[in-house]
Amino acid sequence: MTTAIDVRRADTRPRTALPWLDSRHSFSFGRHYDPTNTHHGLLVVSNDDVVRAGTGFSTHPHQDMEIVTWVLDGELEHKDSAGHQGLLYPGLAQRMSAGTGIWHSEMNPRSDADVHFVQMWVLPDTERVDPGYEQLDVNGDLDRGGLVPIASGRDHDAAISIRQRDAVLWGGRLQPGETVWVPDARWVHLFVAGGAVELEAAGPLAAGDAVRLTEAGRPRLVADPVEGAEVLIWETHG
Amino acid sequence: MAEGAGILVGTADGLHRVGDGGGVELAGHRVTALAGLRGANAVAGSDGEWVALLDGRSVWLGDGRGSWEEVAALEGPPATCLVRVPDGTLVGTAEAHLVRVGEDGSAEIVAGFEAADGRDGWYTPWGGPPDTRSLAVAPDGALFANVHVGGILRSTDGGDTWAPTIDVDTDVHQVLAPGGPVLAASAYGLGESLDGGLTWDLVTDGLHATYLRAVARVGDDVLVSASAGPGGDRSALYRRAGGTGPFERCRHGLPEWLGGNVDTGWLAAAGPRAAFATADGTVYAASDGGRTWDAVTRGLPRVTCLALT
Repeated sequence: MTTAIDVRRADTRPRTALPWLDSRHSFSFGRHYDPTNTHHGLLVVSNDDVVRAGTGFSTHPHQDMEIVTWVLDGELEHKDSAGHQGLLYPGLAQRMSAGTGIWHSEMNPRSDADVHFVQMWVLPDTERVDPGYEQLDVNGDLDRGGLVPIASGRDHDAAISIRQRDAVLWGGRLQPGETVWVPDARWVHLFVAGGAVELEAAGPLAAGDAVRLTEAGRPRLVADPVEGAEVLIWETHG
Repeated sequence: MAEGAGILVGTADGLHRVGDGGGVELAGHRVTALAGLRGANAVAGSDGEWVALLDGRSVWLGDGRGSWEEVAALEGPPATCLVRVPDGTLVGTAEAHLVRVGEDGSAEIVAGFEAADGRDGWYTPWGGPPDTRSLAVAPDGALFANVHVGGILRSTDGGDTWAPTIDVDTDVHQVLAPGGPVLAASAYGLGESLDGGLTWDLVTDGLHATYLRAVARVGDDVLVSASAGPGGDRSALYRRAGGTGPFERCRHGLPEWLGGNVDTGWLAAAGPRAAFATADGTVYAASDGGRTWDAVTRGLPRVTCLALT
């Protein structure tokens, strides 16, 4: 397999803009279908969503998908047909396993502020399992710096589990000038959720930019010396 | 309410009659949709003759007074809406299909809808397949199918062929063809077509927010429900007098905000009467074209549809 470092700029992402939603898609989604852009490794959806105050995604179904939601700003209320309910906020990792099928809603409970979050879908390693849910506050770990496992199918104790043994989501709230190394995996998807970074062999990246690495080793990632950065990095091996 | 005037409220647990003797029919069933046999839309079935969609799986005919008969069982994706047509019932389903149910109970996918132009561009904001969300038949027989999200398609040959009309991204939630302008409740205001659905304008003047889920025509006036979005935050009812000019907020007898969207199928009108349901199971009724309202019942199970008798 050929090494590749593919930079995708924020403003090149397809967009779904509704009165209540501004969603930018890293991959094909909804009406935006591009057969050459459907996934990177096991990651099939990475949506950068802003939902207006008091609105959101009313109840809708999912099936056979591991869905991880990461709030960047504001709050998001989750309710599902399995009886799970949770209020998501920055630093609270949430995973919903759709399994055999589940209905859920994602609403912004605030009447005075938008909510900004990233929703990511990864293919499960087993289909038709019972739906499941997990959430975990990882703010303490993030505050210690470096990359932190947020969601993992590889038995990282400090992360929420996902039903995909070949995938790990790493998150980092990098201090200005902080250096980390991107995980070495067959497929890596790096998303700059906030701030800015410089990635070895790719150059400067701003919020909303993403990089798709294929067999690219462990390039160095340095946070902007003034504003730092928040990054989400999927490593997948399948 | 005047004697003999009632409201049929379909819920997650049966069909509830408000006024006109009260009562509950089809208990234990989710009444997905309801339409009068004679009317073009879900209003004022004559002598209580109705067709109902139960549990998203079967079509029933009844008199609205406890006597119901299943006429067709449906296979495939769950059914979501229906409308009476000359030779039976047209049923919309999840995954954006249409099924023609004959008077003999036969059920057949409408092939022309499967082949409609633009179908590849239909979508949902959450990434799942779109649904056929509402149906309407105009007095001249033209059929309208609203797909969410896929705009409105029109057929002028009894459903054999369908053509897209309004822009898909208008995000229509309900289409209504009561005669005169064809109307659409959309995320961007009231869609209005003066040429039978070929071209559309959006009306927003007077609305505090443009996310509309339901529309009804009461006399010459138009009623719509409007909120800030899918969560139904700051939801209110509006009236557009004479179907022209700006919308006016309906306030008399109503709370400041309605506590959630008044959803598609929860608002109906016939003559000077109108009624709507809210997410908490309250039903409001008006007999003066929607100028003044009264809460006529509260605490119903989750409402799914509503019609006037």
